[in-house]
Amino acid sequence: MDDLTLLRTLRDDVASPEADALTRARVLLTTRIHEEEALMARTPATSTTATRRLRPKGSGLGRRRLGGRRLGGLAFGAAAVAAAIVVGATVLPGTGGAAQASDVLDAAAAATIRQADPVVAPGQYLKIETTGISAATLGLEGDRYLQWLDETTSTLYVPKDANDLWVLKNGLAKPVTFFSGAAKKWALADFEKKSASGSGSETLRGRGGDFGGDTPAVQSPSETAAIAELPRDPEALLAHFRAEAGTTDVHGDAETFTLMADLLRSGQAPADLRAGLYRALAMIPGVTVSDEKATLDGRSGVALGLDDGDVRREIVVDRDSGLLIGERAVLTKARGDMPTGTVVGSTSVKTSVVSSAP
Amino acid sequence: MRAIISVTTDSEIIRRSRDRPADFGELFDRHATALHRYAARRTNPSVADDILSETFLVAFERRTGFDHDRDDARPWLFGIATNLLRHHYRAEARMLAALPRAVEHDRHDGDLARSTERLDAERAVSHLAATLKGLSPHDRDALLLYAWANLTYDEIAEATGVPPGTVASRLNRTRRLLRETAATDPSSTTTSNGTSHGRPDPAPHPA
Repeated sequence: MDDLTLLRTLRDDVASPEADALTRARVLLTTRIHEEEALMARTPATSTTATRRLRPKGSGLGRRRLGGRRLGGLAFGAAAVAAAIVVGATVLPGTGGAAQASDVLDAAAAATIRQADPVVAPGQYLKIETTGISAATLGLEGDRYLQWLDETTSTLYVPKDANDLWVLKNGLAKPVTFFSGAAKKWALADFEKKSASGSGSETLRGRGGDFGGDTPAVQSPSETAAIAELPRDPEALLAHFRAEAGTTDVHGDAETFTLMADLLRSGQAPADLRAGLYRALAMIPGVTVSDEKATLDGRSGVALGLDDGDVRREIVVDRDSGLLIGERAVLTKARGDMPTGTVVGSTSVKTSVVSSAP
Repeated sequence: MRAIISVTTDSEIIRRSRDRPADFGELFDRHATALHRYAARRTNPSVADDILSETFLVAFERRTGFDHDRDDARPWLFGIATNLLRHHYRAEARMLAALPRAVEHDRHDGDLARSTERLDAERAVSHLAATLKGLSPHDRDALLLYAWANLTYDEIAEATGVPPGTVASRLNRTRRLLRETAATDPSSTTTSNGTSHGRPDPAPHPA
């Protein structure tokens, strides 16, 4: 019996759901559907935004993973794809004297702690603008597929009081780089169709950062509280995120790296936590500096990261301020039509304080 | 892409549900049992109850985002369920820990040769469980969507939001891992011709 056959037999005898369980789930859905119908009856079918309902509290969905791997509609990490920049086959600086990852991260930790966190006054919002490029693959008949890179921007407005109304603007993904003529033709046509119909972009509003459904938003107040409770000690942080990633091998550490990078990128980690995270990242075996002058969204910094055999996940850090410019994922192995060195995932984040939200 | 005449596709149901939300219930009737079984297989029935209701609430909220190039909503629904299952990794760890014992409970009848086979099976399951436990969450998702939810590579790619090439490399890697752990298991060489001496040797304990 081979591995897969054996695996297929395991727990094959699991019982079908109890009628009760099916009924309960069906009733929950029907209740939600009725709410939606009531709303539709009351409001003319104009604004889907205003009628978007919040998911009932306590359904358990609020417990998103800390620093979950998606933010503002942009997937990163193993799930991610994308970026407009093809770095070329030589990502690693071949010359000696490359800075040590631990030195860079230590310096970033020291710098970031001196960096004052933006102060949000009552009535103001912390504006977190995330720009990223993500790869799209469209499967066709047989083994054929089309690949291209999309650019998306999402902007999140976090109110001073995290229980107030949050606003999330997700822009339409715009195809920017193509790996074949057919991919270009298809992606551009699809983009025009979507921009004409207005689908693909949206503005969500939700109290306490809860935008309903599985909107890959950000930290809800409970998660903000969880952030406050995270340890600041690098070793404890590393242990925490390794447990979160669920493994300790190299693939697990790639996941650990991504989880910590996601939290750094979320723009919601306070300075002392950022410092701890940088120091924890420096403790992961295999984390190295790959590019001392990496440019992301027009800003340059040091790229450092970890190769999992397929993809090198990197963070790009401003050496002087210790601020995270963004993340990127660089192919270390060709993927379909995308050559080694393609930046298949990048996200950059800018934070500022503004006095109004759209 | 390929419309099958006279059969309502999931895509059509979801499209209709934009203006007639109640139609969304049809999707539940089609896929609830399979989703529940998958979740129960990865965790336990009570977690599966929650996953089932949450999956459809999330799917309903996100129905306008469904990609209508696809007829079949299974990859989409299994993708949502897979994300939700991430919060239940402790339940999954308990399930994996209990796997070898589940095989043992089956083993109380039959002759010696069959007992030996059973012992082999138990060992194989122990190793499989240990390997599954050691996989990264992404790898485990891909493998179990393939082996337990019967999704194709393309469907897994759609469910997990990664390119098919990544799914292929994840599955190749995990299957190689499964084979490697089985191959390096010193106790897996037990003879299965039933000519052993009286009773099968207990598994060697290295320490």
